[in-house]
Amino acid sequence: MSDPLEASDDALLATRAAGGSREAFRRLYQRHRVEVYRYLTRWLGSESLAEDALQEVFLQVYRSLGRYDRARPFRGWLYGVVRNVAQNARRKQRKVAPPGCEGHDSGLFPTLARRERAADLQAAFTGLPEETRALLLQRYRLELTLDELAEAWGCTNRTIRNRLHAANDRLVQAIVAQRAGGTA
Amino acid sequence: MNCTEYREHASAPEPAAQEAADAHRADCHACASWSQTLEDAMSAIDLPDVEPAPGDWERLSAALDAADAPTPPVHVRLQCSYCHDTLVGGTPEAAYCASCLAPHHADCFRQNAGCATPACPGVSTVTPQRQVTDVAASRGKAQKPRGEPGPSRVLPLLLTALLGGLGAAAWVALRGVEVQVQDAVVQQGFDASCGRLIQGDYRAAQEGFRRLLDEEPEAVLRAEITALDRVARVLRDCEEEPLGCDWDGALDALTRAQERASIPRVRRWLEQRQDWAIAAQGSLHLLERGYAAGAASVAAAEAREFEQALLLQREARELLTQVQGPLAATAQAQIVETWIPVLKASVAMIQRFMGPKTKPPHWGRAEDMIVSLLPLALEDKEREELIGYLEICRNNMEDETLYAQAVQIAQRRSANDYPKALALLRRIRTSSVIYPDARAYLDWIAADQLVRAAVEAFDGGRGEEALRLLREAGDEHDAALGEAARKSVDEKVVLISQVLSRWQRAKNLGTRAEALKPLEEVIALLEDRPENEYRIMAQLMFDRIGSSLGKNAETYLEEGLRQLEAAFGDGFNAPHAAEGAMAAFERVLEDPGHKRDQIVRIKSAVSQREGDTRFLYRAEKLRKANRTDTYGDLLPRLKLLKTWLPPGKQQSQASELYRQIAEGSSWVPPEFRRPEK
Repeated sequence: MSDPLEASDDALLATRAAGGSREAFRRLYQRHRVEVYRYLTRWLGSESLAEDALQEVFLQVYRSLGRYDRARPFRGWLYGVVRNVAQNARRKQRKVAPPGCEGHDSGLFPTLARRERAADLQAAFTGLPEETRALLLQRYRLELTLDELAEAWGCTNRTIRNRLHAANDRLVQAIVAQRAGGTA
Repeated sequence: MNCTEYREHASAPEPAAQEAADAHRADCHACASWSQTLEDAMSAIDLPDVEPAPGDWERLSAALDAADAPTPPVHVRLQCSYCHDTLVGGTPEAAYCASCLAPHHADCFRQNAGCATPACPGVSTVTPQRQVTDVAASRGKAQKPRGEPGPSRVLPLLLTALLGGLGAAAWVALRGVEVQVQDAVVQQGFDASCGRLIQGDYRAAQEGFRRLLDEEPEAVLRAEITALDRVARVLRDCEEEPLGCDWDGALDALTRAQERASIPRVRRWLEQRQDWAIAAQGSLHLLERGYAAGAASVAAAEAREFEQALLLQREARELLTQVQGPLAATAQAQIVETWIPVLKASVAMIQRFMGPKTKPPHWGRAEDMIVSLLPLALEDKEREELIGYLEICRNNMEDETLYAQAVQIAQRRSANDYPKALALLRRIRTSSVIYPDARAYLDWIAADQLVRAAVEAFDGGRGEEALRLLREAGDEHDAALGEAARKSVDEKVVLISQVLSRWQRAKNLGTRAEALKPLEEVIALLEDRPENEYRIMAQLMFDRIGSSLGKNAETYLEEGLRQLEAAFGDGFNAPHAAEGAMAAFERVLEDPGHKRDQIVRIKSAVSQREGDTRFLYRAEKLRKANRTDTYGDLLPRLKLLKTWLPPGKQQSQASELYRQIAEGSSWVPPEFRRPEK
């Protein structure tokens, strides 16, 4: 007999977890932990920080489950929490990081490191504002839908469209500028 | 679908518009390039392939045990008794029936001309002047339920009480009092957060507002704080990314917050921000279009479609300079951001047009580009740089025109026009690209002038000077001379040297006959230069020497005829006279001045003597008689006859006889024998 929790959607699991089911919460955690952890590692640039942040994220999710509206996408809501936790961790990281660590995004392009244009792309992407990078990662790497993004960023669908458009343009311009600067 | 729509679609694709988007991408190079760049970049961005350390759930689980259990949400809301829509308490739109305290929208109460509660006779309303503290807040944080979802059972009861007698007493009793914060600490925090908000420190303001919300303030204040918190968040987003901002939402947040704002300065500030947002909203489409045009301009510049790039750049400028209000700075930044890559790419192309790799340089195309770029330059430094390039282009074009005119004049090869060509060439700037060519042409003209002077000197009889000038042309202007010119100069040097050496030899020989040969060679060398002084003088000397030598021939002729007479007279007793005649006649021939009639006279005299003496007949008889003793006398005469008789039977007979006697005579002296093969 199949496990009814296994096939349940996130919203149902979240509702049951809000009702006190630790098992439902564990399922939610297992479902999202790797993706969130990878995202946090990219954002914070450190696995140890990402591990702490992962714990903090799900702790906050657990505390806030009561405020979760089942009608809205759980993944978007989750990444809203992730965003807040990551920003706080980043702020703390800045306070303790030695000068020069800011903006260093080591391992951002592991597969591109050997490629000729890796430097251009890396510099262009790293040069974008933090939130723009986060939005692009969520959209293109985590493949969050517009609704999920709107939920995560606490804004309307239209605003997310505009932000994505602006972020794409910024990235393209940054790459173009990087290449132009490199060849001038 | 235009470029802006395409890029919006690319950011959030909609299946219905996919076909139009594909068509646009196929047609629009700029958008295709944009998409490709984006796709390349996004495919390159990757998340690290890592996983949380084992035991993470256990650690989390332990932390969960120590944390508060999930708290189910409590939603308390008022409904209008008339329209049953949501009603926000404590706002001007909320009114309560003076008889039964049933909540109404003020408009609904007026529209219904009284209370909507069945059987209630109320026709007037009351509004709260002091909000009752939230029940949960009044209980304090220490009394918040932990572990069990207790509040969900308690709150409905409290709500009942709120809407019941306690509520009614509170609403009515607090009439006429201004909305104020109950707790002094909360009030202080609220003021501070509002101050940060007005100063534009949205992040700090947000943090302050959220802390205040954690304090669970009374409902009116909570609504105000929530509205201001939303304002802080929205404005922060909008100022950070005006293009991605939802300006409608921002305006809505500002309007709602302004309606709820209790502090006058905050209210005024919110009004100003509303104007600001309205201005931004109005400029947003301009900014978006300008942004798209700018991006397309950069893409076109990258694709080296400069005409298109500048066209789009001008369009972007036109749009972006119209942007007013809060987006003006963004628009200005956008102008700079899209201008720099276009300028860089354009300058690179200008440098390529002007550079050494382009032969010949495309000054005109470079000038056109600079003239198009100049009006778009943003800074003096850029303008100065472009003007610098423009001057270089124009100077070079002017110098190339001078060069072309000079070459046209010089190619006429008229020495009289050379000064004009030289004057033009000397005006060419040393900094011009054409200068080395001009310099070479100057050298070439100078060399040509030297060669011309050398030829003139040679024809004038100043051969040494001619040689010096030619060597100067060859040495000093060697680089300017082409291969053909260099060969021509060398040939002239050889010719003049040959003429001079022969002329010198002839001069040394004076009027002797030996001088005739070098003079003859000089005349032959200068056959095609009849006006050359050397040729004229050589001819003159040749004629003079020849004339004097002609007198000697006559003398030898007379001598020869005398010897001939003696050789064939007196019974042929003077065989040596034949040898003397033969020698004299040879001297006549050797004399360059001998004349044809002298030869004719010799032949005539020899023929006459043969006719008179019939020497051949006699010699034939003696040979047949084998009178070898006479052969010594016969041979000199036979030799004279075979040499000087006119061609014919007699001359053949003399030759044959001479051969037979000379071959048949073993004793024939060696000088008469035929040479051995």
